[in-house]
Amino acid sequence: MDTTADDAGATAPDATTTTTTTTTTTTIVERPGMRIVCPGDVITEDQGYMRGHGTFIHDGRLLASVAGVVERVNKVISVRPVRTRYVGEIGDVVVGRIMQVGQRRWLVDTQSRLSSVLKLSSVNLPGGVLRRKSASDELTMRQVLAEGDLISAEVQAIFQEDGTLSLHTRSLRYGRLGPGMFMRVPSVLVRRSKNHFHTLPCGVAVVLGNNGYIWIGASMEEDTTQAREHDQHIITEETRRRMARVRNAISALAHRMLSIFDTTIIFTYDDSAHLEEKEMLHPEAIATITQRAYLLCTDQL
Amino acid sequence: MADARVDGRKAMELRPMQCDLALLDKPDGSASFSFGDSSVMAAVYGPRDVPLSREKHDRSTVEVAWHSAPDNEQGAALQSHLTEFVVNALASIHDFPRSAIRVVIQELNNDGGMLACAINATCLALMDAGISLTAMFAAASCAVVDGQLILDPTLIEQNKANAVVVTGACKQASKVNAAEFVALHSSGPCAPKQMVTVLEAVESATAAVAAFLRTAKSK
Repeated sequence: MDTTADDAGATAPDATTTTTTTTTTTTIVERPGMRIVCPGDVITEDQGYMRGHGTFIHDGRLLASVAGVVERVNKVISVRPVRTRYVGEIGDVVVGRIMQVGQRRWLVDTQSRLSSVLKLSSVNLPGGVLRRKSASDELTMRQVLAEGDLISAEVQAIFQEDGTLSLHTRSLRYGRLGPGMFMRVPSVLVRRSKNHFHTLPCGVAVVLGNNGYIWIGASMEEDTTQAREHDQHIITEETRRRMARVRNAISALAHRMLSIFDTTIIFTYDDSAHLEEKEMLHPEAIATITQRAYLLCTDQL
Repeated sequence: MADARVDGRKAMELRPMQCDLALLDKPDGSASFSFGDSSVMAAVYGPRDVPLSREKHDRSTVEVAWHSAPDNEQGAALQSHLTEFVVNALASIHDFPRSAIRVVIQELNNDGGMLACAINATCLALMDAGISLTAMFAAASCAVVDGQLILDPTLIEQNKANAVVVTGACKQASKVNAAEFVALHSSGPCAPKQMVTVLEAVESATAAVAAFLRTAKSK
């Protein structure tokens, strides 16, 4: 998984381990009755079904257009691909990186098909005063969020024409993320839940973006709009090790294509106690430490 | 006429195929594919944002970058163009307007039939990226050496081929109809009659490749 340590000194957890375990042949959790199809495969010749995502109709037959699992809801048949870019829904919590500062808006990378938009009018300015944004605010946009900054935000709207996501950070929960670790997992693995901001029992804070971007930090800031000077405080080595362990736990779950949410992360974190952080991503280790999460995801626990 | 070739294969025999999916973390999809010693890695990025100058309002812009193996710098432009053509024909590009699909092909080792290798790898990488396709596609190459057809030529055989090296890309719509050609590339003179046999040979070879890709994906 893609990792960048935002804080120059953070224990970048074993870049070497990640590269050696490249055999990420996606292991899908098999269930009875699950049907896997390839593009061009006939799903059904029955005319009574409706075409959902990942399918198309040719000569009256319903064919798959992506490789994945067939799903049926009443009369709608769709194919869910194993991996895909993020398809946003209103209300999703996302983690994104500022790509560009534009006219009254920021362009944000959210692993979506198109860059997402964060309008100047949908952010809370530092200090928390609610007011109309003036021309001087436009000129100081880069002081609020600059290129390369990582943010957490919520999907406010989806543009009908092309599916661009419009984000907002009008809550104290959202805003710029401080020093920490960033990682990327397939977006389908992050389970939608009530809360995507977690402070784990080990004290490490994680933001699980629905878009598959994940931020791991030393602690959750109360007010995320505060100034950059706060980035300077030092994170102890022990905390960094805990962060690295959380990161590798999430990475292990992703390798096994298991759902990522607080419980599975805590299970994997706890079950890895006998290992060093850097040993967690060996293929045999992944199997052992994710066993409890696997059972949970397959309803066997 | 000796039936066996230098490497002991029959004239109409493909080299052993091998493939691997999701090898890289950064791209949205990736795959490697090899015919014997010829091997190619393909990475797919997208659909993602595209610069305004290359944006198309009704479809996705397909870009193919071809990185040759060091000893083989010829034909990269042509081969990338052909791969681009195949992707354009079979990916549902109209589903993703104003975006770009970027395919990066890296030759790992060249032992003939690189274009076929690359097209097969691209198909797998596109599937891995979850990009919708009308059908799976596959390719195989065929050479005519001294009037005799040989399938999946090695580099030596390919250079020796006094007549043709044909690479046919086939669309494999399972059970709908047997196979359809979407792209064809030939170099050197080839009599129409010969062409028919070449096409038949490539078609059956492509079917074999497609069957292999299918099993690879469902694993």
